[in-house]
Amino acid sequence: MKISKSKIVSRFTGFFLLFLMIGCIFLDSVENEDDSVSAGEETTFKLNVRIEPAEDASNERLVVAFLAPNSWDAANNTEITYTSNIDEGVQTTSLVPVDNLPRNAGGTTWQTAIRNTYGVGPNVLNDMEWVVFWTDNVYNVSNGEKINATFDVKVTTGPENLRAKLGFLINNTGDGLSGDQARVKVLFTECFDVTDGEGLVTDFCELNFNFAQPLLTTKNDILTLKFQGDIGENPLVGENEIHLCATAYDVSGNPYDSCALDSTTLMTKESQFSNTYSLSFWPADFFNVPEGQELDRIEYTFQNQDGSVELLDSEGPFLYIFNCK
Amino acid sequence: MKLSVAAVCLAVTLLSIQCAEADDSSQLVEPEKEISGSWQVVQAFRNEEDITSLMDFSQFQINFQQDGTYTFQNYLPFLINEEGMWALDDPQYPNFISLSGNSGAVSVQSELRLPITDGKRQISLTFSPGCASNSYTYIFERAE
Repeated sequence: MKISKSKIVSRFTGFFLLFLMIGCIFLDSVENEDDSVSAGEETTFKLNVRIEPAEDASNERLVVAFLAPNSWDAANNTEITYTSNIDEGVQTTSLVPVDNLPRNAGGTTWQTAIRNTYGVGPNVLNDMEWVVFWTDNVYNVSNGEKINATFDVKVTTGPENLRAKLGFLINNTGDGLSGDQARVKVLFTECFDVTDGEGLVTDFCELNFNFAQPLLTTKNDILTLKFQGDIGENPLVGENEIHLCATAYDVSGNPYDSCALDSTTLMTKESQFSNTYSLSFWPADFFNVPEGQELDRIEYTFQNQDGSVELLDSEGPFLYIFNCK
Repeated sequence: MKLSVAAVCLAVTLLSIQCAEADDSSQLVEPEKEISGSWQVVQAFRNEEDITSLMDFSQFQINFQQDGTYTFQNYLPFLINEEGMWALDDPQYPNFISLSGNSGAVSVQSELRLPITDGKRQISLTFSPGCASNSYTYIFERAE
């Protein structure tokens, strides 16, 4: 065993500590036995990791970050353990304390720095978060070592039906998100399905004509709805104006219409080179919802200036459900 | 030798006292932070995403009156949805602002930041008016 734990660190701290880094980190694969799980159920992703130090280094922790939908509350519903050829038995990790900043990320937290660099990867909705763990053990490593580790990321999925590409990142504290591709590795899964849960399926994987943000709201949030006209043929191509025509329903079933096809419903084109239009609004005000009434859902379509051309979902209006759990 | 050490100690002590007195006489007093007046939103963030361009936030104004009351113009989702009374926890070094609605039913306290950007005093407030999972930050500057 060429690597030792924290008790060895104290013996060599001060000699090896200066600017010594791990050489290469490899995230060879992410395995999961399930292509889908039921909402609220537990599933485990196995990360196969190799570390090949090019120099001696000390006081190192391995960092594992996990990208999941916000509704999973992954910080509180994820446990990451690992085994390796330089440890005996199953080892543990913990969330990186918020006051520990990566060495090379300009003073931002691990979570913010990873989000700024990698975003939500190939996912098309932003309602996701990176949660960042590090090994509880602190290691010294030697030049030429070959370390293999398998991390088990055990997570309890959230309550909603969804499809998402989950992300995994490996780095080490000595590197501290320097951006060196040899020392930080990121992989995203194929589309992973959560079924048998609440509501319609939220699709993080593929673009659709409609887009809503945020996914968890009440009538007193600011909601953004988009029409993404470039993802396929549709009858609104070439129209000068795109309007949102919407009806909100409160929890008692009372409807509130907003389909004036005027400046209040006019969607803004995001750029001259795309056919993506958006409208952001405060639902309570936009639908003139009486005080004390909570909204249940919005049914909406996209229309041209005079309402003569309308785009609906495959089985009727597009649907946004108010959910705040 | 003992005498000379004692003399040095005495001299140092006297010098320290003199210095302390000199410091006291030149101590600066932190001025109170003046936020009275009308403030308009110049930047808005939702879950750390800049959404300033997505809506017209500039019409929303809050007016902090010198008599301790505050009023809104063109209200948008905010810390509190009632006009009422405002107060800072410390006029010189404010960390929190308290807003109490006129009905007496609603009262909130929020962390307050008062950065100066491009020579302009700003007020930065973060809040969740809807779902608790969504965080909004409005940055205000004095209304023109």
